[in-house]
Amino acid sequence: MKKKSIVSMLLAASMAMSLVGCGGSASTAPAGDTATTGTEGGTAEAAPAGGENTIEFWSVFTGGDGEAMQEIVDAYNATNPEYKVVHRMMAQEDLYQNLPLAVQSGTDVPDLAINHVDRLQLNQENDIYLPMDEYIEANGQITADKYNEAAWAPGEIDGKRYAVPLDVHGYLTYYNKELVEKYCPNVLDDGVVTFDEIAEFAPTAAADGVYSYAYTWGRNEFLEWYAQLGGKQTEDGTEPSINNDIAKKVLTDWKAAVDNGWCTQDGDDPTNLFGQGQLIFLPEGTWMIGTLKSMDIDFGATYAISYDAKKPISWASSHQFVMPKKEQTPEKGKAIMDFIAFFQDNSLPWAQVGQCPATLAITQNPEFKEMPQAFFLDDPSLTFISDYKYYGYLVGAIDSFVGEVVFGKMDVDEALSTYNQQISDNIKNQ
Amino acid sequence: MKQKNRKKTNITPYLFIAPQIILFCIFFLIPAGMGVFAAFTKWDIFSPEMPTFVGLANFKEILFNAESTYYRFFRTGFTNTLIFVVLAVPLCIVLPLLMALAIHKKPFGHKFFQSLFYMPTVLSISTVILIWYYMFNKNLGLINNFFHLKTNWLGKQPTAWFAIVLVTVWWTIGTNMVIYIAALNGVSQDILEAASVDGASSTRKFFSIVLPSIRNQLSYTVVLTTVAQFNIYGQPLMLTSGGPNNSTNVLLMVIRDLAFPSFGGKSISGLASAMALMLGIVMIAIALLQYRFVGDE
Repeated sequence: MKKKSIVSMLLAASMAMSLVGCGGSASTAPAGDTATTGTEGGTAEAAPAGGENTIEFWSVFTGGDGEAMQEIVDAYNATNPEYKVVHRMMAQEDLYQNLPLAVQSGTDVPDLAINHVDRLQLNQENDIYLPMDEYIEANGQITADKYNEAAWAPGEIDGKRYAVPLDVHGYLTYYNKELVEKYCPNVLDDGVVTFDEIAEFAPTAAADGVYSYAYTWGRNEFLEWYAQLGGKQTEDGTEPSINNDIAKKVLTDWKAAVDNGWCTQDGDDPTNLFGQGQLIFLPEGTWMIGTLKSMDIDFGATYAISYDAKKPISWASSHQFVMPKKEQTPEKGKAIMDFIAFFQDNSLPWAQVGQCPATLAITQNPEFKEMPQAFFLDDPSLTFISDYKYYGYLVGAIDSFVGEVVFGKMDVDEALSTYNQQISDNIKNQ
Repeated sequence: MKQKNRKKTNITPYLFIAPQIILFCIFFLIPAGMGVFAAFTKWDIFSPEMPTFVGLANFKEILFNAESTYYRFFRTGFTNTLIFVVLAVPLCIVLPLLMALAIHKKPFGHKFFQSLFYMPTVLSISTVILIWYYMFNKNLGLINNFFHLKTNWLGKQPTAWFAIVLVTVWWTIGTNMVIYIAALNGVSQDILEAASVDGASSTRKFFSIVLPSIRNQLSYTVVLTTVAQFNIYGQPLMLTSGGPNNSTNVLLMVIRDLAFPSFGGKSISGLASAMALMLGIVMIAIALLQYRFVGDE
């Protein structure tokens, strides 16, 4: 009997301990996060969460991007600021699920976070952000004239600033210099390749088993070509408007190119084909520069393949700094702005991983000017960044039909009608 | 006084199972209850706004409103899930049984083959899919290069289903095989020998003695495998993204996308929960039927 009582006591104690353990883990950072803070020796060590003199910074950067961001954070912390930055990298799905839950619960809310530009409107509507105007004013260094216009504009919602841009990352057209020389030597004299020009040289290339361009990330290619022809994602700011003749033209032209063997086929691996010299133009993201450099190939980068040589509008997105809603002191708010302003002159590591920093100062940097993506910041009017509040529903739908239509598995009219309706229904039922 | 003592003594077993019960409540019972509740509401779980009770409207929408996007979602997702279950479950039962029978004969190297067949089971789904994704790659893939093909395995039907079923069978076959090997070891040798003496053929012995002897294990694996395959998610998500033309877009992918939109947008958890509840009801019904027809009383 005594033995049983002792066992019972031990079990009860272990249960209590396990429950304490559960509580403890719930009050720390989200599972799977990597919390690091720079030290003078350049190594990283675990950091306490939410210290009084730290800026808790959540980012969606992992891999090379995460290392580059950490390098900038380390450089900032090395300046001995009053508030050191604790950088927590996490997969973007984790951040987008954890951030609203943290704000709602009011515990472990970060001081600063990275959000994609297309998330700003809905998150602001869900009351997740703090307006930054007061802190920006106190800091005095963050002004519109120092940032890329296309990336700066979406951060202002209903007259208040909720975000400051970190970068512009978008879709370029990479080209194989040897193949351009062989099949279309003068086509890039104006820096743009048009669909009319492709129609001239593509049959010759196709006869040699070489594709002229590629289906890569269908949604981005569709959206930039749709924008080039004047297509709008929404007419009234709410209802989607992609069931129209412009969208139909983009998709049918594209399908014809696939059928003619000018564009890569269903299931092809375009990056591999580009590396093997079987593809002349590769529409891909700025983030692919590192991968392409690792291939033994002489390549360059230019604007999006275009319907009109004068309007080579390219799809782009932007990572933005936001302040999640929590009680914030003016001192810390100003310190957060100091950190954001630090990027104005210290963004080179971010450019080195293929991104285009949103601060105009970087465009004067000689090293950046030599990078393949540098031209992308030259003319903000050629950068298409969506401001559609329901962009998430839109691209979810586009992902479902673009490839299917282009590769002949779905009828274009049926696809546009069905998926326009799907976006509309999602908006109604949310 | 005696009764009081007995009560004290009885606490111990409950304390032993208490951690499991608590975890079961926190991570299963409460979320499941909330899921059932959500099925009767309109609710963005990431929004500070409270859920709105809508009665049976979500069920009406997914089951009867033929004009609705969600009716299409549910019908497509559920049909695709059923197709997968019908294709995969028989293979996940019969193949491991045949392998277990072969290993049970203890041929040369049977221990090695037992380990080899079981090995994929310990891999994570991401590892399994990455291995096979590149095997099926049209340009670089081992399969196309070995057989000198240019087949787009994952982008066309029926090869997309073939790939998903093949990967699933390869990945999960080990568990059932081990259960069958253990079951076969328990089949009475005396009865088998007596049948041999009476002149029964191998086929007759298999159907009349072996199969009835392992009936409970068979019923257990049939039910568990069916439930597991109804929960198909990772394989089509990572191999085909639901294509071609939504033909491998299974119900859990639909539910996940509605409740947790991948690219932003508010959570439509009410309709997602209604779909999940319907799937749960169907799974329970099928499991009960299987127990009725396969299981021992």
